[in-house]
Amino acid sequence: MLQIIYRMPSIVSTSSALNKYSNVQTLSSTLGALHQQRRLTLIVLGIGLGIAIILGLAIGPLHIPIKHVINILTDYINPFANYQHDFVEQQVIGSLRGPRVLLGLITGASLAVAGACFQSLFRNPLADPAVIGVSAGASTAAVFYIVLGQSVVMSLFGGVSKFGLPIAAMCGALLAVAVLYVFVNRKGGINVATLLLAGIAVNAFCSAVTGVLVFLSDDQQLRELTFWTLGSLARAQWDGVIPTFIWLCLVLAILVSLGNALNALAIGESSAFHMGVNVQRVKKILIIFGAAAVGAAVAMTGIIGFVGLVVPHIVRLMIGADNRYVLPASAIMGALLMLLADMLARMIMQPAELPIGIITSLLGAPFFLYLLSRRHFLS
Amino acid sequence: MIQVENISYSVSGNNLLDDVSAAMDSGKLTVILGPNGAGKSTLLKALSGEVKSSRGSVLIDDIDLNVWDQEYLAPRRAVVSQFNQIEFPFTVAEVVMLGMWPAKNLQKIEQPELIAEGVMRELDVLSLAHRQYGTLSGGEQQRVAIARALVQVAVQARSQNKCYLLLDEPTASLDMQYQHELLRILKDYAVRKFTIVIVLHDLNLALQYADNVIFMKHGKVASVGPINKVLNEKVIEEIFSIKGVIEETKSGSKRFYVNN
Repeated sequence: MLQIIYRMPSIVSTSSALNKYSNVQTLSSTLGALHQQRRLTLIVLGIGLGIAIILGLAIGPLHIPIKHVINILTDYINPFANYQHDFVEQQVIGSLRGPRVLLGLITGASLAVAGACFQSLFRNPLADPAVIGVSAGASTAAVFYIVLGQSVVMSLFGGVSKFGLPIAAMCGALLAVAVLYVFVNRKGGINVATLLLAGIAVNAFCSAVTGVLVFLSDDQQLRELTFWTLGSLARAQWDGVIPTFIWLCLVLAILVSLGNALNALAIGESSAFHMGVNVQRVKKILIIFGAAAVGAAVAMTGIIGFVGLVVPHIVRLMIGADNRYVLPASAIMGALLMLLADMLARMIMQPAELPIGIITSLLGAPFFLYLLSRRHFLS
Repeated sequence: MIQVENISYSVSGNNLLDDVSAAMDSGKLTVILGPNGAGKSTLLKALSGEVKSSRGSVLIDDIDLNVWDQEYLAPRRAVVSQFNQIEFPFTVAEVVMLGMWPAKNLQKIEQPELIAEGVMRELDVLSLAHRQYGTLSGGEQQRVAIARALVQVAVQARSQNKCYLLLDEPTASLDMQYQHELLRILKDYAVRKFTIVIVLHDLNLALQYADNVIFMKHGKVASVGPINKVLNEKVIEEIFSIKGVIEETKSGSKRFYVNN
């Protein structure tokens, strides 16, 4: 009874403040509204991705009418459909744009999800695989493999596997994340600037190593190397894309399932520990599979920057920070953004095409600066 | 009940905890007092398992903390840390419901939102539910963090199980009204079989609400026991090097004044 009487003044004083808002929000109504917002956003993103896939198959030097694209696609899915296709159009979709779209889709999703995961791992909304040097680690390892490793593997095993390159890239990414993690963790991991500065160092070191390797490489290798620094989907072929697609789907499934644990980590490592989360295990999974996602993507496309920064950020603006939804929504939006960027890359200078990494950096770098200026990260 | 038996903890040669023993009873509000750097927060972290003592043991419910499965402990033991910063745009509703997760992991919960709403009403944060956590004032954030911790143990508390709350300076950024409100609520929880351990700086809050006190100095327990027996002018002068008087007011509560 005493308690009720004591609380009376507090109720009276807050009610006057509450009157400013015309409708009083409660927990259930707030959660309900959030739920609606997330569902709607996921649906819109899904539809957008579907449209982007069809456009991605239709647009290019040879313009294929959308109706034909849909006919050809349904033909693949439904063996009983029997349309008369233009042979050239079917070839273009079947062996050129098909693998390219599939590769863009899965690498976009991977980079975006890896970005969201690294942001949770480092508790830093500015962590992007390319900005903090993880992509550079992957590409340097890939270049190292091409220039030096390949011949070593050849002499040791008498042949080269096509998996050698992605495995090397994943190891390079893993090494970069591990170095960053150890460094940032020792510094207490609170200051947002520490990670970015460490990222500068990793990037500088990787580009120096790549520079040395460029000197060592022959003409043929040199032509391959330029691809790594700019990023492109142009080399997509089914025999490389399909194993990458399967592998990245597995990696993404693991990362996306961590939503609850990442939410707990967001309120602090010790709080997560007190909530019963096995923090060390979750961090190991994040490091290993985050690196696997970036490494496998970079091995196929080279460095494509800022997707992992821009996408999770926009997703959080749309649906809030709950990682159970941020991760899948980032995957869809990453795929969508990558396909749109690739379309731009193909259209701007037709019939030549720009490397897609240039497009994402042109859009992403100003966005990064905007984020820096908007928040007092460096104070 | 939490028992601490001869625990020691040192970082690079500094003994942050030196052979500390104490017992924190169920149904009691225990306050840890002491000057800056006395090891109050470190003791609390040892109780929560965040730091592992090099010697000695911490027993919760007569079971060693190292033996407890964290997944089963979490729905019965919640911790409020000193720092509660969140980098990402979570709403207050989401932060509080995050507290429900450990219990949800173990059992199905009927209408978890209603339970959480009750706790939020107690701490007067229900009207903040739709706000983004990062836009709140320090005091509001602290109340939300406390609400999250109380939600974490709410399900077990409802089924009359023993629960534990560890709070590190929970009143630090609260205004006077909410300081008293919070301690009154915690006292209320203590009555419901909770073991509550709070690190505090304010002697008068301790005098008004604590059942037991643990005085820390230089990583050691300087004095421990029921507040009426332990807290007097001499002890305060020994531990804080400050002279003052404890006065009993007409209503029977005690106040500490500093003599200049």
